[in-house]
Amino acid sequence: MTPPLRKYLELERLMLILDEEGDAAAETLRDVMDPIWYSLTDEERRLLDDRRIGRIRSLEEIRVPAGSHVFGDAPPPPERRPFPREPIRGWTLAA
Amino acid sequence: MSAVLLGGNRFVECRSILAYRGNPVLHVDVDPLHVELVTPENLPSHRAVRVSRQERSPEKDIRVVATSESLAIFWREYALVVATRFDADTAHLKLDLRPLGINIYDDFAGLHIGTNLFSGNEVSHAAVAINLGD
Repeated sequence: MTPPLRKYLELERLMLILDEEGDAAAETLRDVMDPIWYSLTDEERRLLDDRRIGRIRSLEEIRVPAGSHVFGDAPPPPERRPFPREPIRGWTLAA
Repeated sequence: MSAVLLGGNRFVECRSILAYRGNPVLHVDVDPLHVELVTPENLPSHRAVRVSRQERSPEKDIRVVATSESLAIFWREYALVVATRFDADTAHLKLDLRPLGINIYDDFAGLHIGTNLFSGNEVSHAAVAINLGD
């Protein structure tokens, strides 16, 4: 996400909150957003125009550090454990 | 208002459930039910997948099974995502990306992301509900 897009969405979030409360400052924020809107790329403007949800209140709600605890090697194939041929005994001990 | 249930968490009107450095990884539409899964390139596991309306790759390993009320994405014989229409406005998700070398999955305890566990949260109106970042 580019810095201008991030700025635009943050301002939009605040503007919508103010607008919902009937605060006249929403209009001031709209004016501030205009030059940022025009600084966005065509692709970014298209993305914003095509939004399928009505209101974005935050860009990201939770940020989780991504590292080797999240992205690792492919797991090895599971070990083959065939069904036993004989009746299983001692379930209570195994549980 | 659409919602996605995952690992005991509720995501309301979120454009992406998961993203990596701002790039969407998991996106869910409730009506009609649709799931997009695009994992980061250059994973240590070399198992990047792209499942969207436009593409499914790698074709030999990815299978998508969809009905009007459910959609599942498989890596070979392992389910990565199983989405079910829970009610008119809600989709329920089961998620397990471990076959791809991504330690993200859900179970009864919650949504596991690496060493983190999330449960009982509601996230609403976010561009990205959970962003994996630096």
